[in-house]
Amino acid sequence: MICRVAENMKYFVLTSSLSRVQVKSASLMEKMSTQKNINRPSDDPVGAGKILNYSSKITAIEQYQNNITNAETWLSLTDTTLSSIRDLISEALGIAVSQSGAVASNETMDSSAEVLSGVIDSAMALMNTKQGDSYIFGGSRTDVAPFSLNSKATTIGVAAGMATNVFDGAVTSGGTYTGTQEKTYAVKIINSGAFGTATCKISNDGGKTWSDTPSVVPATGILSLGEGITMTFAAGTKDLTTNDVFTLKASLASTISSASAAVVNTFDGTVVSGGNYTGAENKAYAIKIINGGALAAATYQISSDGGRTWGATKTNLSAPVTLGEGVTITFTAGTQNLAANDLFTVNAYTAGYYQGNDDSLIVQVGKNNNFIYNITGSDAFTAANGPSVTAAISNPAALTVEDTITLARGDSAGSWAITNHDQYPDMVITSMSDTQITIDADNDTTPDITLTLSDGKWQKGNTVSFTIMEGGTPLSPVLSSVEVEGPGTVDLLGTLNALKSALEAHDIKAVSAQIDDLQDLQTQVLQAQTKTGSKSASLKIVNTGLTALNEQITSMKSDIEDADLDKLIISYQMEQIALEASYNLAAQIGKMTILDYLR
Amino acid sequence: MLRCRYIDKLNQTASGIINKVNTQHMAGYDQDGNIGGVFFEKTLEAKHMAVSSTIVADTRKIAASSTLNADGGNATAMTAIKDDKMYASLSQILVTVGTGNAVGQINNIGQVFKDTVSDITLVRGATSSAWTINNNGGYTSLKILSADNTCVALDLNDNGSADITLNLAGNWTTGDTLKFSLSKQDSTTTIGGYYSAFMARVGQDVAGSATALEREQTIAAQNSAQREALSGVSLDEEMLNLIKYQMAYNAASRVTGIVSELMDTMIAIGE
Repeated sequence: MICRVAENMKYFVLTSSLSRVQVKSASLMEKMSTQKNINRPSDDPVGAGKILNYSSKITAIEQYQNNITNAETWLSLTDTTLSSIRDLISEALGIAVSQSGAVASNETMDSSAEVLSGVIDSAMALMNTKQGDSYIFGGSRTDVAPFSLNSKATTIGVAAGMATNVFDGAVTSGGTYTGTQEKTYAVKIINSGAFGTATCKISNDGGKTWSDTPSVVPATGILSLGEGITMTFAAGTKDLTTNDVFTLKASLASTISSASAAVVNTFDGTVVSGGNYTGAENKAYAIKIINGGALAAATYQISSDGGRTWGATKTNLSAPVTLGEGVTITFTAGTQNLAANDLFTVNAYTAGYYQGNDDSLIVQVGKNNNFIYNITGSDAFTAANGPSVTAAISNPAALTVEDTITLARGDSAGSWAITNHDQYPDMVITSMSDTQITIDADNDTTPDITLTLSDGKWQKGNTVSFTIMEGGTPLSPVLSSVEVEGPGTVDLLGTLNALKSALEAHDIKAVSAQIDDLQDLQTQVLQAQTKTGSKSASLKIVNTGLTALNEQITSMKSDIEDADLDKLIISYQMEQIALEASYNLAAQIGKMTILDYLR
Repeated sequence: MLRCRYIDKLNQTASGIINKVNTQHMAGYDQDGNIGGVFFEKTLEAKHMAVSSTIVADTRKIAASSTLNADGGNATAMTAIKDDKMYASLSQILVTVGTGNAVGQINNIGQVFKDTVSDITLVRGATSSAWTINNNGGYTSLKILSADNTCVALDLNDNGSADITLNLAGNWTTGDTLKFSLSKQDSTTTIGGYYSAFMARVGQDVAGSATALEREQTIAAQNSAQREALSGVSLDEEMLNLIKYQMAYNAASRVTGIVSELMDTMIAIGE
């Protein structure tokens, strides 16, 4: 309790209250001029922490939105490219239809082949479309053109005779396959006899259709099947006999690139790749040195996914190392030993024209929300990953006649129908699911044939066909390999090349054989396009969500950070009044003394 | 002291970013198909944080791809680091051989940038300074900086700072073995969270000192008011005192006048 007010005190109180008022109004001035409530963390430590948090969220959202814009650009380029490719397929289909009709002549076929080679070139260019520096159809292998004009290599499989054949000599395959698609060749003996007299028919579709006129098996035993393939018979004790069947498979072969070493490697010896690739998709194998040293001493790891993940650490590189699925790599020492982090790569390609991979390109469009924005070339333009079927006989007694059976798929997995069963009028489907179809050949409720379907990728329009072959004695029938056709099973470049060579060979039958494939291709590409569209659509939804979230967070941040001008002005006015009062008081205080009242 | 603590926090934030980004970057491949190098120069201090000079000189050296095929996978992985938890905690230290006991602490959490793949194992040699690392738990650059009877200091990433100290008690002899692991916990925060918590802390400190200043000023004012009350001069009071004394003086002088008059009168009568 102060009971005595000295003059000094009056002035002291006056100056300190004046400065307090001025500090307050200065801080209000600052808030007004910056329009922010919090100008430094100390203004509101908790609020400042929240603001930092919100700001980082907003930055993240903006980044996600940038990512979405990029992915959308990519998808719209994919969409227009696919649509142009579909136009090209239509053009090729037009050529196939017109050149398989009666009006086709050698001249029109030649000129059509010219037109078609233009179509192939354009299709090629479109399939190798780039967005920036990246090829859009190459999977995650965006730095190498995913499609090449020529199929890389071909193989001819081992020739095999049916177990029921009478002929007991040897049969071998030979030649170089010049075709562009995988084909199963079959030879069926029509008239029995020794070489030079026996006649046979040849099929290039696994026994579904046969050549119209029988040809004589040459006296040399070397029978030419077409497209560079030969089948050589060596005489045994029994002659070729009617209904003996021999098959061989000609296919495009997988290839392995030569091994490459990273530029920065210390090791200066040589590396060589080898083997036969047996994998189902294109892969980049890599081998990384963990502890350096001589070949026998160094430890290493192997990756089969282009270096994303690595296997266990192993030792000894002095012998050839198997990278996986038939691919090997062999090291030969140089002057420099292997050093840690030396890297060697080998690319393995499956058969065909595709050099990309099946990887997805992923972009973040939200926290823990990774979005796949690419369509791989293998999905859209090749038969890879397409549907496949294996068939097995469960009741041989019911299968008494030779026939080719065809099933067609409707809209759903439960909507298969048998479309071709001439010799088996009573044939019905007894059960069907996503993975299995059972068929009853004589409608006695016992399933006679079981078809096992591969996972997914089945579409409306897929057909499955196989041939029941009577294997000599009536009760041991055999099934041919199952052909799956329709969308998802066609190779774009293979089909176009096949059409071109058919046109060049003036082979009307071969030209018309491509029509179905081309129609399936249209559906296949359209499906890829639909997928692109639905990806775009879901990106738009994500983007809308992000915009709303951004707005919400911005407003929450603004609530804490931004100054409310109305409030500020009112408080400022109050401070002004206080300041004025202080000034007034200061001006008055000197006047008021007892002296004024002493007269 | 305060400043020192702030610098520590900033340095730890920077270390956290540098170590995590570098680890992720080194798991990727650059545009030429080489394994990525460091992205940030190795440094202990936030003020020296800088992008590696190799990358500045040649941006093709940025390892944005997670495979040799030039995809953008590693860049995506690096952006996800911001959502990655920062702290790793030290597990209880097991003494598998020996009778002593040990308590450990992490000095720089920014240097703990990954979980250990297996326990870090230390074995004591013949003397107290002769500890060796038996298993580095995946921290391939792990080093023992110093060791004596009471303390073993470990450097996680070979930059010369003691990132973990283990305080030893009891008797230790040859062959005694220590084991511990480092693991991330769900309850811990991200680098951004760590930094914003640190910033809020700084704000709180500043705001706290401002409040303290205000409080002290009020007390000082109160005190000086009291001092003034005792020793200060109030003009009104002094003036009134003046008047009082003036009046007294006046009265006294009036008395003097009257006495003088009396004396004059007396003298006149005497004549």
